[in-house]
Amino acid sequence: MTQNRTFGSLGRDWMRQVAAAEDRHEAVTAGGLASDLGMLSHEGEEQPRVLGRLVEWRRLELGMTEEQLAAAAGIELGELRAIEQDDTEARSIRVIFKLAQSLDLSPEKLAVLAGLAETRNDPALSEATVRFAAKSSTAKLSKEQRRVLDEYVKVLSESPKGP
Amino acid sequence: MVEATLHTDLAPVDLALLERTWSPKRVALFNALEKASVPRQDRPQSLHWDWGKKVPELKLLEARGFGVLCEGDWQGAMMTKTASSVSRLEATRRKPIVYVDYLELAPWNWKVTPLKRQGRYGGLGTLLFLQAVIQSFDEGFGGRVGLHALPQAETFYAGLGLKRVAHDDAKRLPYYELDSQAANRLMQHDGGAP
Repeated sequence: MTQNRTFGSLGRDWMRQVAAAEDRHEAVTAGGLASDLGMLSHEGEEQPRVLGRLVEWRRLELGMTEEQLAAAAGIELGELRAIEQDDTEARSIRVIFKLAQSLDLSPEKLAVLAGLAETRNDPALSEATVRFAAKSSTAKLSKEQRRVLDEYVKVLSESPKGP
Repeated sequence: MVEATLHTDLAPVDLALLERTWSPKRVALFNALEKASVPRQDRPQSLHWDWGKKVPELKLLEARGFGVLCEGDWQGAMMTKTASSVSRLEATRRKPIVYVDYLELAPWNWKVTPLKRQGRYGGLGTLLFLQAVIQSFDEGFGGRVGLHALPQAETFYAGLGLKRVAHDDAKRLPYYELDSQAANRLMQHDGGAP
């Protein structure tokens, strides 16, 4: 990396004015490359919530509060909330496996959903995930949503097939 | 005021090097936002970016990189591309442009309104973007520059004179472009009053 130019020549007053003008805005980030590399998963509508909604719905189905599930899994309440909000920073093998055990789901498949394990050729899981993502647009667990969840959990509870 | 230097030969894979110092700050900020129960939509939209995981893909990319170094740390960086990037504005459609593929500041320079936190150094985004405009003039592109802005950055680029062309469904981000007239206006401010 080669030093090319100092900013001293631009003038201090100009720099101060530029800094003040820029400070009025929330961010300056350009994201074309990040989009190409699939890194926009947190910007709301770009990708459907799957893991977070699954954990939340399964918890509700089992009649557990956030505190109860966090305690049962032996993880921090903040970690659980972050997982349910689909914050990828919060995902780790430790947390995902503990949650899977408490929610009676396949740890391997949950790890795949969390992006922590490679996807094996599992068309049933892929199709079930697409169906779940398409139908799970709200957080309340209605009768229909319970049916959608049950259908998805059935696939997630099966033991993974060999390669 | 401190002295900063601009480096103009970063490679895309260098983003992974920047991430070594930026990543712990991202995590610390994530934890602070989590502790303050800040809703996800109010958090910095690049908070979760992890270039370290993308090294194999970054090695394959052709781009020119710029970085601002100050007090031993990279304060911000930008990647630009010229090949295969063309204007989407009606008046200059298909004419070549400089495309800003990536522009990002170190996490400690982010403004984080929910935490009432200001960035450590200001003006870096403008300085980096001006390098893209200079590159465009140097390449004979008349100062034309295009980019996809994160939603939180749209007002910044609009303020610099870029026009919002359209929401790009393929990139899932709004596309902005600076035309020659706006580029000339912007460059008249380089060293003068913004």
